[in-house]
Amino acid sequence: MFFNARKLSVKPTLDEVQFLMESGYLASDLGRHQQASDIFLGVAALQPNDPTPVAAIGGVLLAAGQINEAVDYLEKALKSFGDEPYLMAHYAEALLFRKENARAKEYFLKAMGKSPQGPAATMARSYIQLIEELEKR
Amino acid sequence: MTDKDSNLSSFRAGDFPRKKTGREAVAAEKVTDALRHYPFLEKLLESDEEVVEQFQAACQNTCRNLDGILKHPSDPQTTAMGQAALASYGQSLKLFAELLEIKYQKLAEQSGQK
Repeated sequence: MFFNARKLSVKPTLDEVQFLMESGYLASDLGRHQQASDIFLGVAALQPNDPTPVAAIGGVLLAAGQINEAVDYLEKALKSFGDEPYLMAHYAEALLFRKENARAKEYFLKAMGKSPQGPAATMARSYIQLIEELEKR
Repeated sequence: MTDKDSNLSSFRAGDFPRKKTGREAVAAEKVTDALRHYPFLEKLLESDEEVVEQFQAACQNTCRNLDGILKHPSDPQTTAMGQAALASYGQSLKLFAELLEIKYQKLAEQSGQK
């Protein structure tokens, strides 16, 4: 974990970062969880202040069925990044997979409150809708 | 490529659906029906060889710089970060090489059909 570590002296270009991130998502989508995780970990090392690769690692853990590990990992990340909304939404997603619906909803709402227009809010809104539908059943 | 990677053969950059498994699929069924897109990979795959080679050379240059960090003694965290970054480039370039191989295979098949 390289949360908020000191940056390396090597600076990748934006194209390179996008290339690495898309490669990680593709590897994950292909079910190559280890490869995806290795790729995202490297991006996290290159961009230690960016929560995106960290959230992506959480997503890979979830996709691999490692739900408790995803919750623990994202919880630590959240503490380090200081309640960053995008990470908060991913943490809430992991809680939802652990069937902690009420807590998940609480964190989705917090993420929406912190960033009403961003990608965290988009993700949170969709999941809140899902939680509410599940509550009706 | 192994049998496990057979999904890759159906990959067309930009239109590969995001696959969700198990509980993720259940929870996400209402969240998104959207396909995952890879705009940069797609653009790169459609580019001329020269552009691809330029990009690969830029990545290799960054890798050489990362390697430089690893060759000089530094604190354990910097070393670990450098190693992780290098591995990330290695895995990504490897995946991209597989995509290129598929692209050239398809092109060869298409030209064979003509």
